[in-house]
Amino acid sequence: MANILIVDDSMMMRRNLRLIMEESGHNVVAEASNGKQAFFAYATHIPDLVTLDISMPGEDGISTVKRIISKFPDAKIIMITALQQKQMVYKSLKNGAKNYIVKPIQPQKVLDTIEEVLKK
Amino acid sequence: MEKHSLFKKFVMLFVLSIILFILSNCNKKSINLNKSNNTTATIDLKATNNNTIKLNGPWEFYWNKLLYPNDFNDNISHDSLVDFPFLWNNYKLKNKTFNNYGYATFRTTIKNINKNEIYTIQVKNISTAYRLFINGKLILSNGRVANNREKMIPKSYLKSADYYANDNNLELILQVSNFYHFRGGIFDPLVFGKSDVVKKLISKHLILDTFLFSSFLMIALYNLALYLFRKSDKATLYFSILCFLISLRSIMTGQYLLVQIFPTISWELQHKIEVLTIYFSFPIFLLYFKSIYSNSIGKKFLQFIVIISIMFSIIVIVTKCSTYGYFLLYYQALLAISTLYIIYCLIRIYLKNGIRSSYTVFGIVVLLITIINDVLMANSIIDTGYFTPFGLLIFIFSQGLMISAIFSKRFSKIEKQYKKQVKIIKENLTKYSNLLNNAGQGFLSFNKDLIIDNEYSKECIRIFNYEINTMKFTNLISTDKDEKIFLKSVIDDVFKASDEYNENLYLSLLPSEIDINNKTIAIKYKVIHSSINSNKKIMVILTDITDKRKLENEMEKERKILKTVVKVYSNKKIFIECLNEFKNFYRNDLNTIIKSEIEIKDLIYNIYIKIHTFKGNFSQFNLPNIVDNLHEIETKLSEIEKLMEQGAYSKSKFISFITSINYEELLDKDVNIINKHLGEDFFNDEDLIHISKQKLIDIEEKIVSYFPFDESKHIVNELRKLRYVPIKSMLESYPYYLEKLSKRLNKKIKPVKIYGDNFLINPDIYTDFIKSLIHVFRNSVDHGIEPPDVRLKMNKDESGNIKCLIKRIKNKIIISISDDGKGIDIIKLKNYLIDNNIFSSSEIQNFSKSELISCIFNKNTTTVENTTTISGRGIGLNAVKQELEKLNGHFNIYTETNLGTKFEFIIPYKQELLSEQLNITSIMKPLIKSVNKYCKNELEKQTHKFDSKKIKKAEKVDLYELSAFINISGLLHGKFILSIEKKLVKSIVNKLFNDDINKYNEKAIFEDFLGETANIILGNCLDDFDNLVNMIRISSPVTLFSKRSTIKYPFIDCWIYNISLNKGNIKLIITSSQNKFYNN
Repeated sequence: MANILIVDDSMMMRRNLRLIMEESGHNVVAEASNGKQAFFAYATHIPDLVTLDISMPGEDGISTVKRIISKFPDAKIIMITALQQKQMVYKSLKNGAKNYIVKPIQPQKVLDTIEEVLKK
Repeated sequence: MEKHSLFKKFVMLFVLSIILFILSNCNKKSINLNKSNNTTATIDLKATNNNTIKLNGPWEFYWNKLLYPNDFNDNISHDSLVDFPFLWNNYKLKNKTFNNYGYATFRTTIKNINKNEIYTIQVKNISTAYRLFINGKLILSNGRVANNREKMIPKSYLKSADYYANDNNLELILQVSNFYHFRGGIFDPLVFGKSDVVKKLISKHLILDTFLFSSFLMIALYNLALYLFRKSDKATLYFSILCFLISLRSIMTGQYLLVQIFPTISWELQHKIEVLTIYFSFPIFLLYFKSIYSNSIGKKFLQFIVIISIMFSIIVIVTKCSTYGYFLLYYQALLAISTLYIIYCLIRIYLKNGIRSSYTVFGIVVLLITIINDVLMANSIIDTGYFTPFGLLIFIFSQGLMISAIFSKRFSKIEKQYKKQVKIIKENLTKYSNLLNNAGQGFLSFNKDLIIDNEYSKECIRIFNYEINTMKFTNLISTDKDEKIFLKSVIDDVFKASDEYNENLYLSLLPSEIDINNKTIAIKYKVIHSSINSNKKIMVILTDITDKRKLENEMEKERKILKTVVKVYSNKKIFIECLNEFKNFYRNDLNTIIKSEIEIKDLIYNIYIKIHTFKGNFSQFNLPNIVDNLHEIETKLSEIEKLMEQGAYSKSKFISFITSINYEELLDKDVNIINKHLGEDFFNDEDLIHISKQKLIDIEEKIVSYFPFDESKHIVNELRKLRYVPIKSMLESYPYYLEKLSKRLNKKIKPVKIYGDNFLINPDIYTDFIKSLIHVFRNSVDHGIEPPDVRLKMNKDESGNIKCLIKRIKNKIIISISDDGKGIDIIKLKNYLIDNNIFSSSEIQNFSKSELISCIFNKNTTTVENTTTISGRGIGLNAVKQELEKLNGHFNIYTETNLGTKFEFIIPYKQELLSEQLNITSIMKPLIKSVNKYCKNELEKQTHKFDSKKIKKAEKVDLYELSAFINISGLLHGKFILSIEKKLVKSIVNKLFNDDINKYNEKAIFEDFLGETANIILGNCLDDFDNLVNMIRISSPVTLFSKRSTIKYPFIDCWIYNISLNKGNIKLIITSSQNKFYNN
């Protein structure tokens, strides 16, 4: 069971993700609503895994990936993305994200992806 | 067969003769003469005719003496006379043994040679240094002769020298010393003869040796090359090494080519190499042998020989000849024993394989024989000469022959196999390409370079309209430059991916559906790893789903139209009102508005409002065209309004615009659709339904074919119900009729009332029966109800009372018709039955009252004396009975004299609907379960127990302050509404986000919360709605904040369920626009 950091600007989305993760036994160590917070939360908690919304006001997901990976190259980041954002997903993957989940999220898909990324 | 046995015999004969030859030569050991010490040794050349002679002897032998020609002037007596070859180690003389190490002088005199002729003497192998004097002159020497090890230098190779004979006799003095080799003495006799003859002989030997050496070397190199081409075949390698060793050996023995070329090679090294070739050759030979006949020799034997040989070789390398020389004997012994074993193996092989092994067997046998010969020869047991090189040559040629034979045999076998394989591959290829070409899917693949491979299925050509090989995949599926770059980089990453996980990760970013040449193509990708090399390919599977999409679109269109038709049909009144209002608008109102003296701004606004209202009205019916048309006008109007503000549009221009629109035409398409489905008559009568039954049935059939069964059954039921009529409506003409009838008959009745349940019945089934009931009603008025005066006399109300009561109990319909008239006259009936010989009087005695009364339904049974046009013929009631029987119904009659009669008809209720409606419980129960689960997670640990009795039906519902609406489309056309008291929401939200909440974001969080909660509650229970999950779609939630609001959907029931929790109440509301629900 992993320590997870959830980054999303929607409070409800964060809650949903947290419920899904906690129900399956993961430990949500922190939540952040923007890239800046996310970076500091990562530095404080060094979680096993991060779920990161690809589009957030201010610093977007890709820049956040860059920022975290540049300091913590081993960070495991899963992007949360809408259907039509393949190019952004690609950029995040190239910058070090490990996988992505397409919204609307399905709990099983979320857990499977987390499992997969943790295994790697 | 005969040939084989002949060959076998020949081989046997050959082997036998060779053995005999060896044995016959095996003679000379220790036949050294023990002659008197004083005789001088002479060799008389006259005795031989030959021009060359081997100087075998006799020789005078002086042990441990190095005598020079001068020394023989004194009379020195020799130890013995000996013959060459002579090795002194095994020599015995007067019980005196000789050490291996030592020195000696030999002397002999050759007589009768031709004077003044040049002779040549050739000295081959003397162990290990010598000096040769002829007639007192030092002619030849090799190494340095000395009387101790320190001073002597060993050297041993073939040397020759010329001598000009100036006398008829030659005195030969040969000094020999050996402190190195384990055998001292002369291995080969000296050869003497006329110079030209001996020289010829020497060069002959030289040529032969060179020939052998180069032959072996060539074969070695050839086989090495063979091996390098085919490393799996070790036989060629072993054979090559073997040949190489033999070639090496061939220049170390015989003419000693190696030493002659490199005279500086030390004797020790030369000898070591020579011995090593033996130690290496044998195991290599065995390895070769085994590699050809894998079962020929034991593995353990082979290992043993290899280990022993290695050990012996090490001894040779680290010690000196004086030490390792002794071991050579043991090795030779081993060799001899092994040879026996190998012969045994050969015989086995030969017996087993016959002719196929003849080359090998022959070669080895010859080789073995020569080896045995040479071993014996080297030990001076026989004197046949050295044959090993020839044996080897024969052996090697036979092996070469065999290898060639094996190779050519293998090659032709492989060639045959290859041809067969090629044929199979070709067949398979055709099979697979047929398979792929006919799979109806496009298959193609490409490498890292994105160029499409030549092998792709025919469907690809159909999809892309051209041959696609050498095209780049990205160009194939995209025309957009940026997209191509993106696709290329994604594909690059797929190829770079180190594992399946990353491959799939990047593949998922490629498009899964594209539109190309007006086709919709679904695309699947797969990474293929070649089993031969590590190259990757991406396989692409293209499926043309155009037809599927088209069909889906068409079905969707047809579905929409059908829904429109059903909607229009079931709300005909409203629809026609809308239509008329609209017609009225453009025919009359529009002109009035235009003519009114209002400001242009208001004018436009008024018309805008009107159009907007019509748009709204028509959109209720999902009319596909008029709504869009009106929307267009609306847009235009708002544009005009803007232009007007800028003064760029005049009133007259506006009027001409608004009046120029052909409103009739706007409606046409939609009206046509309705005409097509419901018939032209539909619009003619505004109140009554005018539609042919067949039209309805057509629609039904269409729906059944366009919609999935589960969905269609509900719509079909709706449609069928339209054909059905309320039972009361079928009876509603009777009261009027009975009123008129009673007047005609001068009777008075109160208005007939039809009481009880009203429900839909299929008129096709029940019409005949209900029509037949006229007889019952008529009878009641005609025969039941008394004339007013009679009634008054009997203290009855002068107006008779006829009642009709309809009940539906489960699947039975009960229709009872009662009057308060005189009742049936049983006595009259009895008499009638007896008089008309229907029953005998005795029979009638046994009838019960009800049995008797039921006889009035029999044919021609009546209690009336005078028939009228209205009744009395005894036919009518019988007709009722017949209709009743058709429906499997039955009747009861209750009658009391002067009190009245009651007819009760019980008939089965047949609906012919495809299914029951949805039970609201089956929807509500999972919802409550979901709410409970949600509450458990989110709220206090309070759960609510579901009680189906708590489900309420209402036309309107009061909502709490916070509500979320989710539209449910598909089968369950309706809404799910979650309404929660604000205080409850507040307490939950506070608990969840206690710190983050403030009055600025409160509303947003509430919205967020409410929407998601509604989503979760509905989403989590979708699976629990039996069979419904695939037939409904849910929209995203719409949230509503209001202090006090009520919802009401016209004609639509709302199903409500209240949940009271400690902190507040929750209301779940489900509506279905088609009133799909029932509750039991």
